[in-house]
Amino acid sequence: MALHNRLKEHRARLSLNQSELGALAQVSRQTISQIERGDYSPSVTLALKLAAICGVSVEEIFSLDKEDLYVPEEP
Amino acid sequence: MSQKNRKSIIRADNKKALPKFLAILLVCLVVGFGIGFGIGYFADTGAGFTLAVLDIVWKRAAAVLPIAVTVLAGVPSLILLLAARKRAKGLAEEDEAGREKAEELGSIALYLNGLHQLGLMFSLAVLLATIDKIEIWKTFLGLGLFFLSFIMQVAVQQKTVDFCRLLNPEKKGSIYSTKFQKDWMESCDEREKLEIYRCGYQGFRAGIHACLALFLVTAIGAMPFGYGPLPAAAVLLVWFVMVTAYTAGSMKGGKKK
Repeated sequence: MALHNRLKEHRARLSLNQSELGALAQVSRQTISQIERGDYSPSVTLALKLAAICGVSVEEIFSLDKEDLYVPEEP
Repeated sequence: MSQKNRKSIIRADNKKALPKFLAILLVCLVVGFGIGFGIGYFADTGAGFTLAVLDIVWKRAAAVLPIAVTVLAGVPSLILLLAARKRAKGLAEEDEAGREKAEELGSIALYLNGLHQLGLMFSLAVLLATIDKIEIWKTFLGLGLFFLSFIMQVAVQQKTVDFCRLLNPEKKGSIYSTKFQKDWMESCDEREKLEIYRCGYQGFRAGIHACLALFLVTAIGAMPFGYGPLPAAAVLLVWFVMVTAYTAGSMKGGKKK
C-alpha cells in the first residue's frame, strides 16, 4: 500500500529545512527525510502534527492510491 | 469465521508442515549418529592433543592478545571514526547523501568498537586462565596492555557517540552515565524507536540460533574434552534470560493501555 505525500512542497512553502521542520514536529531530520522519500509512513499523531505545522489538513499532505481505499457499497 | 473452521485451518497447516519437520528430525538423527561415532573416535585419539595445543596457544598469546585485538578492531574503529568526522566537516544542511555516508562510517566504527570490547574481554579471560601457568611479568605485561587498550576502546566509543550526537542534536545521553541507554532511547523519535525494536528482534533471533548451535557444541564437546556441563549451562542461562526478557516484554506490552 503506497502512501503518497506532499510534505516537501509544504516544507518549501514554509521555507523550512528538514532539521527545522523536524525540530517543530519533535522528530529527527532523518525521519522527515524518510517521510518525504516515502520510505516511512508516520503515525497518526505525527501526521496530525505535521499537518498542523503546515496549516493544512492531513489529507492535503498524505494520500493513498484509490485502489487502496475501502469504499463501502451503496445499499 | 467459526471456531470449527479456524480449527480445521490450523489442522491443515500443521498437516502441511509435519512431513518437513519429520524429515528434519530424521536428518538430525543420522547426523547425530555420525557425530557420536566421530566423538568416540576423537575422544580416544585427538581430544588430549587438542587441549595440549590450546594450552600452549593460550600461554603464548596471553600477554600479546590485547595488542592483536587493538590492531584488528581498535585501530580500524579509530580510523573509521576519523574518516566519518572528516566527511561530516562542513556538510551543507541539505547534503543528505553526505550525512548518510558519515553516519554509516560512524556506525561501522561503533560496531568495530564493540568487537574491540569483546576481544578485550576474551583476552582478559585468557590472562586469568593462564595466571598460574606463565611468568608473572607476562601476566603484568598482559594486564598493562589490556588496560591501555581498554582506555583506548572507551575513548573511541565516547568520541563516536559524541560524533553521532553532533550530527543529531536531539540525541541525549553520555556513555559515562548509568542511564545512557534509557536517555538515548527517550531522545529517539517514533521511527527511530521502531528501527531499534526491529534490530532488537533481529538480534534476539540471531541470539536464539547462536545459543542453539553453542549448546550443541558445548554439550557434545563435554564428552571428549571432559569439561563438564557448566559451559552448556552458561549458554542455556543466556538463552533463558533472552526468552524470559522477551516473554516478559510481550506480556507487559499486551497489558499496556
